[in-house]
Amino acid sequence: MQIMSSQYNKNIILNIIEQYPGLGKTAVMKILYMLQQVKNINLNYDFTIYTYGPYSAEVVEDIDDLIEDSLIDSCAYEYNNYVGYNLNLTTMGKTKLSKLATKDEAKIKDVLSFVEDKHAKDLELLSTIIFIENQYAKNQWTKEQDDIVGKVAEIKPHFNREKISMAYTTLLEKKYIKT
Amino acid sequence: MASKLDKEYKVRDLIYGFVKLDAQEMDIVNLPAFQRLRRIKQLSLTDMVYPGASYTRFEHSLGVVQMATDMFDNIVSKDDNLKRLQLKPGGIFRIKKIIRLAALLHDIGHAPFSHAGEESMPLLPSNHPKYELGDSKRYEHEDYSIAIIRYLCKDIIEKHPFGEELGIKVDEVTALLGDESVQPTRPTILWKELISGQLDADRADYLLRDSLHIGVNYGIYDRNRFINCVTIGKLKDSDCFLAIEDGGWHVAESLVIARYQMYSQVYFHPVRRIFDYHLSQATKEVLKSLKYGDGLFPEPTSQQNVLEYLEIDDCKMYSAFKDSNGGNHGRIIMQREPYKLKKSWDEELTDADRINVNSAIGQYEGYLDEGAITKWYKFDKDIIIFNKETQRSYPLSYKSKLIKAMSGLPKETRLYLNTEKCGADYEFAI
Repeated sequence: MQIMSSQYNKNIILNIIEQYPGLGKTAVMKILYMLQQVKNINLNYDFTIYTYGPYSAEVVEDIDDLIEDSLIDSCAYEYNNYVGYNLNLTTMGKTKLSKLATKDEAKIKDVLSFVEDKHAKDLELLSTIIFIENQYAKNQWTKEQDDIVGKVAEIKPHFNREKISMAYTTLLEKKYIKT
Repeated sequence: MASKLDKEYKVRDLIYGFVKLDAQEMDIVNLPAFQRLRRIKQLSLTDMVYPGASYTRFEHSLGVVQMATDMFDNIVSKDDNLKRLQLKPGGIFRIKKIIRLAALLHDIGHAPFSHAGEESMPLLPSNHPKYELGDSKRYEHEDYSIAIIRYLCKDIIEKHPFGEELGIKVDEVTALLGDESVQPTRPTILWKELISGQLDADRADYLLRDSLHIGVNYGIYDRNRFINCVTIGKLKDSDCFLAIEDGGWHVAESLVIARYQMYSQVYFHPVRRIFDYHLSQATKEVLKSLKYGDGLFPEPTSQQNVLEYLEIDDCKMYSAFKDSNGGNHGRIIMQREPYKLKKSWDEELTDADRINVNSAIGQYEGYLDEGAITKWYKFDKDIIIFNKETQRSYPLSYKSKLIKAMSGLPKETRLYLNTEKCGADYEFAI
């Protein structure tokens, strides 16, 4: 599989923001995680699990580069006592936007249609389930639904078990995780 | 000889005055694998520019223990943090001990000359927990640290008479260093930020230590204020996270500025950067001359491999350079005759520039340092600030206009050429 260049990764970010203006930084992070993990677009980002789910410092770096190059604007917003940043393409960003490989375009479209009605909290939960499922698979640990849901409930006690189970089932139906 | 169980060992330190260690920690320090850190320079060949930059990972590792302890002690000294953490007194001591062990051991797997040797680490195999489909990533020093702890420190962590009743498992220590073969838990997700995160004890220590040794003030920040402002945040619908108290956001700002200054003035210094290149090339040559034909360190996949890896330190490398086993780059290091900076660009190279650059490098030998970004000195500017009265969190860049306005890392592209071949007066022209 070809490893994408940083330029290509940044173009993917621009494309995501073009399709969903005003998307939060954290949401972009989770979408990129799904593209890499579920859709096998090799963005070469290192993700690890943090308080709000999978996190990659390299993604932050790419987003900050795009802001610094005036290709995207970031605007602070407040939600539930949490201040984050919304991202929008600048005029220059729109001119720099280039077409993605057709196969990747379809993958991005699929992920974006999946996440379009989801809140940041939902994305945190969904991406955490994918992360845990993937870690269990790599380590060849037993990964029945109960194992994964139980582990997510343990590390994310602010989500109840029923909600986690529902999210797990959604991901399974969508084939974003495997049994 | 084993350390006395009831004794507190005090080691003099440049920053903290003393670093205090218990008997178990002292026995770890006395392991040959840990003593090797006395022979791994913290700042690689930065001493080619700043002569004071010759201290070692040994000193830094002890410092991180003290910094992490001070940060943790301050956090748990506040009732509201304890409430958020839901910690009981016995639990506090146990977690503190795990954090101290992780802090002590976090750099035990460093290659000679710290990060410069990491290019000679093998590619991750497809069955490694960190491997992703299609990856071409290499092992990192953290992987060697985890392997060394598992193969050589397990007994001392789990069975040492001091603290044996705590029942600490080696998994709990390696988890704080990013070991993905260990199931994540709430405490590991939170506390690993203290070892490697936005507000970690590692960076908090090396910024001060580097500055003091080098003789620059760029990395100096108010350590006492910083330690006193580290806190635990928690929003209504989130779990606990490491943050800075609202009233102390200025100290977070000064920490970020200190880091930025150190990047631009020290870590990205053009001469230091070219020596990193010479070192990475010379390391490959030395490894080939030892017995590693592919120029790569042994994989951290067995005790034997780990022991072989630990045999290689800065002394062995210097000795190999002296014996002409480091190739031309080893000679360059010994004679301090690095390639010279001939051109730098603030923007990305055009295709035409690149053709000219490649032609010059082909003709004269040289190195194109693109972006001057090093993963190991990652620049994260958004520390989370938490207001405990309003239960509100926000990124530092939201509060600080200075941080918001700061651009990212210096992104200079630099062309270095071998002046023995192109001549000292050669001028590179596009």
